[in-house]
Amino acid sequence: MRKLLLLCFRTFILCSIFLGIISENSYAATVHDTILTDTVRTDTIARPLDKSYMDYQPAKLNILYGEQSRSMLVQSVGFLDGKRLESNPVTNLSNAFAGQLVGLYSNTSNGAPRYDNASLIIRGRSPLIVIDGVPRYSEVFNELSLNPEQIESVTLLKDGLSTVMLGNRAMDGVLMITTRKKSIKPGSFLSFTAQGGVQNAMRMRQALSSYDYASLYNEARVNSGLAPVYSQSQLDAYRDGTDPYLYPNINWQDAILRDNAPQMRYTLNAGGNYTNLKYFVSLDYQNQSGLFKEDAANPYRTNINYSRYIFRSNIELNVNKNLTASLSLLGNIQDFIQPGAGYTSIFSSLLNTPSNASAIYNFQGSYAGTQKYRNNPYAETVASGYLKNNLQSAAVNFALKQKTDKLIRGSWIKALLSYAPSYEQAINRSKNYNAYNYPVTGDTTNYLRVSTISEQLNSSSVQNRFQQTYVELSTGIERSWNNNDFSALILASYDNSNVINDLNQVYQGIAALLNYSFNKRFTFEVAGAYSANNRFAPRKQADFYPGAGISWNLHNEGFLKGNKFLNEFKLRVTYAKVGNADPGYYVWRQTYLGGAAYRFGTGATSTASITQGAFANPDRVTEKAKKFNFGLDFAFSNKHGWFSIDYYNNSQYDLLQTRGESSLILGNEYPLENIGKNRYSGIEINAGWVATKGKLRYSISGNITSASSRILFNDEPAQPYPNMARTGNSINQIRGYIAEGFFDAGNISAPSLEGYVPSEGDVRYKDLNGDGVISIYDQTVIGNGQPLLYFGANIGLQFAGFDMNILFQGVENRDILTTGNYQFPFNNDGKGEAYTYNMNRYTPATASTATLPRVTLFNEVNNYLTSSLYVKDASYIRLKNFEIGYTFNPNLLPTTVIKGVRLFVNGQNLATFSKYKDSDPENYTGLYPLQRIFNGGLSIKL
Amino acid sequence: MFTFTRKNYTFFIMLCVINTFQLGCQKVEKVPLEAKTEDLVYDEKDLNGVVANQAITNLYTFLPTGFNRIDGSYLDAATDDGITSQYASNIQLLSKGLQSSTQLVDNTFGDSYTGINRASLFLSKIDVVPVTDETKTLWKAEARFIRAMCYFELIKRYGGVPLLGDKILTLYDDIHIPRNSYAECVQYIVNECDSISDHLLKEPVTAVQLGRITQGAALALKSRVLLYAASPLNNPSNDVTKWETAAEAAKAVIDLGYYALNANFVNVFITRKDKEAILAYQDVKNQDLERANSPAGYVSDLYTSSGSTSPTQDLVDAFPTITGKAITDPTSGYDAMDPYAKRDPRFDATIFYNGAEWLGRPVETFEGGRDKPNTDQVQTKTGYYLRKFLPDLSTASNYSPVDHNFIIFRYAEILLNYAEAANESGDIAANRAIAYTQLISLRKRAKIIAGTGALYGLKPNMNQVEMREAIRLERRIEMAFEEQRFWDVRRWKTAEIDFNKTLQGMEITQIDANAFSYQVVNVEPIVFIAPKMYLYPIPFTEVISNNALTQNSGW
Repeated sequence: MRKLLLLCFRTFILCSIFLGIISENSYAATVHDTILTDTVRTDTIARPLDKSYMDYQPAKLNILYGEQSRSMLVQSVGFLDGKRLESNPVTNLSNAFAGQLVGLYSNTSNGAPRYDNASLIIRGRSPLIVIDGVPRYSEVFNELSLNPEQIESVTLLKDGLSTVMLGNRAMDGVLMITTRKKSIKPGSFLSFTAQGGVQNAMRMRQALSSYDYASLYNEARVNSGLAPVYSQSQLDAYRDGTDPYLYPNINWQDAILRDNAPQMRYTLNAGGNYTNLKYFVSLDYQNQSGLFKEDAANPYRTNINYSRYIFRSNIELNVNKNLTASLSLLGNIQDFIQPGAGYTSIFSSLLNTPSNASAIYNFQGSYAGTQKYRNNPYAETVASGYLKNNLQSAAVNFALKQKTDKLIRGSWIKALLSYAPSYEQAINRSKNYNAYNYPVTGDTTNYLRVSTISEQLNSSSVQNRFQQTYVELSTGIERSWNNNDFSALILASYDNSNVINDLNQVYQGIAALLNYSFNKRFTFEVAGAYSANNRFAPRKQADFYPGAGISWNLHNEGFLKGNKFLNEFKLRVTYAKVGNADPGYYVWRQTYLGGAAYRFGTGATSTASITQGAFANPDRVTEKAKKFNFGLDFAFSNKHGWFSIDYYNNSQYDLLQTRGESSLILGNEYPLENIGKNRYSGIEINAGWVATKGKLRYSISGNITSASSRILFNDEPAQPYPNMARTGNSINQIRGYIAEGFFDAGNISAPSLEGYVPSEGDVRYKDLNGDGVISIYDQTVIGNGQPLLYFGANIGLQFAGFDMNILFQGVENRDILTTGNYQFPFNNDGKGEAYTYNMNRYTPATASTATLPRVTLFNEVNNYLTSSLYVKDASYIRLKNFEIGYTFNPNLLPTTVIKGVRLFVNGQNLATFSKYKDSDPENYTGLYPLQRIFNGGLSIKL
Repeated sequence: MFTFTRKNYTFFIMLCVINTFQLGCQKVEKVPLEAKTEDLVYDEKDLNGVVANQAITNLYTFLPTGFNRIDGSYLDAATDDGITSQYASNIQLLSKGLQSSTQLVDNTFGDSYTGINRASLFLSKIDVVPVTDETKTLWKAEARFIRAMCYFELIKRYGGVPLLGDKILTLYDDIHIPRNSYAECVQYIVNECDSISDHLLKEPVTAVQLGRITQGAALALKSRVLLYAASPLNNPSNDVTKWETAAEAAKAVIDLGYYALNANFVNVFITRKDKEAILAYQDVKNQDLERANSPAGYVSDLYTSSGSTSPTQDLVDAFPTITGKAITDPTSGYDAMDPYAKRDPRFDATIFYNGAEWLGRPVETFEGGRDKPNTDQVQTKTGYYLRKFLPDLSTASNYSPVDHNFIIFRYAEILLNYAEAANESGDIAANRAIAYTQLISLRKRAKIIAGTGALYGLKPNMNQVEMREAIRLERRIEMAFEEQRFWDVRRWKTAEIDFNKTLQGMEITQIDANAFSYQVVNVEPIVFIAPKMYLYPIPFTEVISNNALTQNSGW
């Protein structure tokens, strides 16, 4: 049934992508005037219904350091209207992108409030984040910790040409966020949104009951050649609960976690759009609670609580008709509270505390523990005090733009200054707790203290501090004559940043761009940068990065002009060399470092020691890539439908790695050197259809990306067997043995690990080189060998006052390697947890159905090797986002002061379909779980 | 035409912006100056050699250390003397024959070459530092000792390795370096010891100098290297001259006339300044060993005990009785019903057995006893715990910090080296007389009863083979858990027998409060795959990238 569902969804997504093409005839008749208008985002509080192709590729796009009209666009850029982020009840913007932007891959591996940001990947690399034209860094907090309602648009700069002006920071692609600057319509507006929701944990793994755990433990002991430790009467006691203190059966997950945690957000926005003044002011407060239970006896909160205040003010003033001054202010204040033990170590305790470890409380009320299990997860949650982090961050952007038409028509000069300090302080108010072991229930005299209480701390420390000063001077020109359109830009930038006590890091460079378009048909663009980073050795700091491209609007050619079906048909090609400055911290200097101390004398006096540090590499330079991009864009059926495809091929070189032919005989660490060569290539497809039929307006759109990677060169020494080579395989390859099932009586003499005498139920590996033993020679690629496929599909409907939006998102060909405490039972010297899936172990009776090897108590040298047995297909499809809203007809509102009212409910991560059942496919290592969120609210506009 | 004049203020502001950041650029630290460069470490102006002293100090951290160093276990837990009590420890890869070139345990290949590199670097740079010639000579000798020690640590594991001499490899050198022969390496180490021994500190050293390498240490290293080189593993043709050289080397240490056995065997391991300790890895006073090794049942609010090592019945049975005679000897006074009574006092100092006093109560390793509760907590697998290296805390109430230096060379080893080398130097009575003398001095110190002819239980008039066995037995019990037997059995080439059997323990049943019954039981096997395990595998990554380096056979 699930398989069928999965198949249905996949088919649906593929269909939605190609729907536009096949539905041409049936919907061609429903042309509506407004659809052809190049509409942009409005201030109506109605949610974003994708009304046309233009919502996906508006007439003018934000590109790096400016805007460009779509017809002259040569670069490969992705666009997302800020409105489409708003239905996501997430606190970190990065979680709103999944499935919405073609080419962007996102993965969230931690669900904890504040730390739940998704890692974003574009064409194999994590993009640089540029907010309002200034590169920002996640030094103190995630720079995408932003409110979606303050975002005007998101632009993904994917190819080399679009980013080349960033020079040595361009290689990873750029995710560019533009914040709202004004009210779209002339005049002003004020809006207020209040929303609240509940979060609950998704797909957490289920621990075994005490009875099952103890039985399996006995089995493991027997398999390890030891006598069982739990007698049948003890096992029965676990099952029957006759003595819950001596024979506890605690579901620790339930004991420390609540089912639901609330979150809320209030946003007040105001905007204006007048001839000489444009402004957008926003105040946002959000609060998100964690899943931990609390103890009412504590006079303070111990549960995770994350509150964030964001103040943003963007003001643009036309001082006179030639001079524009703009000032943007951002304040981002965050408070984060968590239990004193730290949420990560509590979740780690969950992985290490089985159901029968101890009761929560002893019979006389104290916290319980044993010599073996000294951590009581419940006490860690409620009785370890709390930790509090305060973060203050600000950003000021001040810009002046002067039109210099009088010197050269169409020219201007601009200066931008940005200063962004941030500071985070950690306050430690943690303490320890008393826990006791009573070996006999009821006997108050016989006990052992296994955890000792400590005074509550009161200390504070600078968690982090970051300061960035960015200065940019630029001049440009825009001219059109006859059939020619021309624009040019020259820009100098200086970006000085500083983390705590490191020396300042400075990126500086000069960049230029020329764009020339002939007859709206051909556009040529060249751009380049000469950029430097001060942490490389002198004379290795700067490099030149050029790029060029051409686009051809075929729909403006005679043979296609006026074609009823094909409204737009464009061809784009770009090529650029870009860089990634990864200088390390002055690693070009050969320095000496303090080493371990040694002791001399009768008093064992400690003497400091010093030693040569790792070998310096004075020749270290920027990593580089040559990026090729080829794209086709179509719009058809009166722009009801669109289809666009990009092919890219990025050849990276000078990648930092250590030498392959290296020897320990050297006696010192090898430095990173510019050695590696990788290639990323892939195809990105984006398609959609929007139309209106009577009162019903609808849109359907989808995107799919195929991303492959290959190691071209990594200085790999000659391997004895071809299967051992990494070169030529994918970059994220998982390497190990191929598991071929389990040893049983019939094949017990099959090749096995050298020196290891296999038992029935041990994992049997494939002897790839046929030498009769299993060794490193038999390792090969066992996962992530296929190109990653990821996709999203979106459906929007609007009928009368109702609107609805559904977003699916998914990944194919994604392999994960499960290992460690959450996969192997009784890990950590026999103390670790075991989960329901561990019951699928091999026993003589279940030989044919077992999915895991026999259980043992040791860190199994054979059974826990990295093998295909533990590589899981973590492909998945999620119902990522769903929203229904209702907007009241303004005419029916009781007062004209209120111009609009909208009610909405939405949800995040509502359903997940995956072959990986043990846990969540994105967050599978037993960390804080990802959340399913149900949210609702009200918007009022004045 | 420039017509900006009206807009001067714009440019004024821009100039301000530029000026601000230019001002900010002036006079800043261009590189992090707190990270010292070579000229500040080996500094022509450092009259007292303060920083250079830190560089020589760093070399000392490359001295070998011991105790529970392999994933919480003694190296000796991969011999027939003991097993780890832990469920899982990497030591089991060694003891079960599961080590491979990619699954390495006790792999010092990289560490040793790091020490060699740093010592050579020190030697090449130190001349610029304006300390006295005396200091410079001493430091250089120390650096050369540590380099020689690192080579010895390599050759006892891997056989012959590339000798670099004074060459300091850089990134631009060819790393495809072949191995030197074992004999060449031995010769190199011996030559180094010979040329530095006169330059090192001579005992007695001052209180401040304690822990520094002395002349005795260099001679002791030479003695051990030559003993290993003369042993069957490395001397298959049994070239007697090698034994003779080894005997001379051991005698050279004795002839220094300074070293002596500590009268109390227990105190050897807990006394920082002791005439028996020739070289020890210096550590601060601590109670790590008490916590790691004491029987698992000694737990209170104040302390915990992990009982991480379980000595075997095989070792227990190797200890003679107080008469110095083997327990199989009917005249030894051994009582199988009371097996721990009247044994060699070193037995009491080495083994926690059922009934031994510790922290005010007897150890309970009988089945179900406090120290062997047979629950799933880590506890002895053999009925014994390791007591060696611990002070006598029979009546104490808590652990307290104690000197726990790991002794690299001690005088007792030199005596045993001398006895062994002399006995092998030729089947003549004079050689055996030398051996008798050494064994007797050890047994006398151990407080074994002198007995008939003051032979301390040794069989009179032993032949060469009997004497060999007696020396090997003495070495086993005297040096237990000091990282000797693991190598001794290998160099004797008897590992396929000694390290290839099922190790035994004692199952003790309590009959009543003071009565127990004893049953020897099989505990777990130890595996030795001959001949490949006589040498360690060289790390796979090393052999792959340096094709001039041949892997040891069998790996």
